[in-house]
Amino acid sequence: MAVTTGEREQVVPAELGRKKRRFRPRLIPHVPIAILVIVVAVAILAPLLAPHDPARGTLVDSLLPPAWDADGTIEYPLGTDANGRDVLSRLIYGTRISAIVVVFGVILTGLIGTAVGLLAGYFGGVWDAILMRLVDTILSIPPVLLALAIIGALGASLQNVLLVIVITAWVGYARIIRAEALRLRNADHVLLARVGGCGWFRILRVHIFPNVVNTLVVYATLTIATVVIYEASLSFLGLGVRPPDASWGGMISEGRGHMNTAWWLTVIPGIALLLLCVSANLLGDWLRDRLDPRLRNVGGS
Amino acid sequence: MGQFLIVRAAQSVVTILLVTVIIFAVTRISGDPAELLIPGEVPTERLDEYRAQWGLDDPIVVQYFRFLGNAATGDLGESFRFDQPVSELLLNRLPATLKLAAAAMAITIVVAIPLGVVAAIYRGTPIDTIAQTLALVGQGVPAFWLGLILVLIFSVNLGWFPAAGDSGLTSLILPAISLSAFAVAVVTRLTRSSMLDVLDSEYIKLARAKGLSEAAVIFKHALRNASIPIITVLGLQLGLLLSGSVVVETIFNWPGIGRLAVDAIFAADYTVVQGVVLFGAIAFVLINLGVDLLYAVLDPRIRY
Repeated sequence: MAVTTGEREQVVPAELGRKKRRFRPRLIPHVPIAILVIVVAVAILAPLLAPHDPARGTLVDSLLPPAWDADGTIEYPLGTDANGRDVLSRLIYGTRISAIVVVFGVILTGLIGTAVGLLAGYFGGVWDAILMRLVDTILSIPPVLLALAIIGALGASLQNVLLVIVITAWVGYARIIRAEALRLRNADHVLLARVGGCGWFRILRVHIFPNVVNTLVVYATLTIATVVIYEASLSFLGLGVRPPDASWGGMISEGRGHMNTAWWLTVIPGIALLLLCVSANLLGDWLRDRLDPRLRNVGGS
Repeated sequence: MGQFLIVRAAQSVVTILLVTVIIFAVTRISGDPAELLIPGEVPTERLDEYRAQWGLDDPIVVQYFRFLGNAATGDLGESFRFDQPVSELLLNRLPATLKLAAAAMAITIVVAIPLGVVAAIYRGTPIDTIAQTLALVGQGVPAFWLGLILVLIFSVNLGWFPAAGDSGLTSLILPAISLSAFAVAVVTRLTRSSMLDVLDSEYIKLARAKGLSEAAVIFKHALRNASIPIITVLGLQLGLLLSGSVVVETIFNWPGIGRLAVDAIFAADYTVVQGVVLFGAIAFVLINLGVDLLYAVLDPRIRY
């Protein structure tokens, strides 16, 4: 991998002096990948890493500033909130929510959307028409509005946010993968396989799926920021993760009331969100340029 | 053109009908719609009375068509909290949302298109890097957080703009910037890439070879040809701005329909939520229809 990308890099920036470029350390994709790996590791290891209980604080220690401030202490490196809870520990546990959202909103929906897209595109016909009408309908309801309708009816919880994400996010995959399957269904190698007596499942698995993997990976990476921001926005509005559970959006919402005196409560979780989303988009853009330039106008989030 | 218009309009009607089915279905997934639509603890007789009044004991298909018929005539039910028809509430709150969306769209056009054009012309220079970095941050920053940071800097610390409410032009600036950040990012990137495609084409080389001034090449030849995808994306962003206003209106205490809906959820005033969602989804479908038609008018190559 490193070898091939190293070779590519010398060809791409034509008008920038090649020699100059060669000695520059490449920040992309290494920095975004490192950040994403750290987020995943922190999410998994949260109980080991968090110095304090994220849900319990001592009121004596409430609203302490971060350690670098004159009034801060090293015991709470990123300060404490109004209930005296450690911001760093809540931030660490908050990564778990974002990680769960990515697992459901990107991986699970990716599997559903890919399966639907492959079947619809390959077989065509009535089911294709019905499924694509459904896809168009779901795409035509802005996800925030659908979230209001569903959460208004079922109540605020992480499960309901995940439900809304799954309902709205699979359609994007289905539409893109269907277009690919439709294009590939009459490709020479597929026709040959069919003549050779290959069954539909094997054709989809062996002859079509490997050709859509690049598109799939690029699109999935570019949707990470969308679903993470979506959950954070809903939790911020009080329609997602319920207190006292720590989520980045919820932390920002709680910090809002103390913005005049305790800036760190709103700023720090927001920076975490920004870092995660920008990293995912940078990686997505990089993958798209490498793997699937045709998706150029899909755009991150 | 006529046929394309008819086909596309018919598709939109089907989509709107399916949207109403979904929204109707959502009110039924929680179980008893009467309990959802009448907030709070109410005696069983009141629920029975309500069911009889609104025909909630009828077959589900009959209920759906009644819902559809009412909605088509502008009857979206009554708000329990305000004791007022939902359609009236919507109309009262709509101008604020439109004002905010229009301001955000204006910022997007004024900032993103010049930024994208300049980035494309000066490709690979620091100007391009700055434009691309701005776009990257704009795409990754949650609107609600950007709004709070703007308030922290410009209201709390500098005192330049009010932190909340709708009190004239100064109060519009911060919410409009927060709402437009994502659209600015998307449109800047698209403008840059469309311009790069066009600048690379043969007719631009010809225009240059003819000895036209650089300004004429950029504005008359390049930007005009790059504008079709840009206009399309601007239209699509308009729909997203309307739904994005749900979050921004809540932060800035802006009296629009987004905040109306969020407040209604917390007040368990579900008829209002349903009305806003239905209205927003239909507006979104119609905007997208408009974008498609505009696209067909602008680009003579598109014919169905």
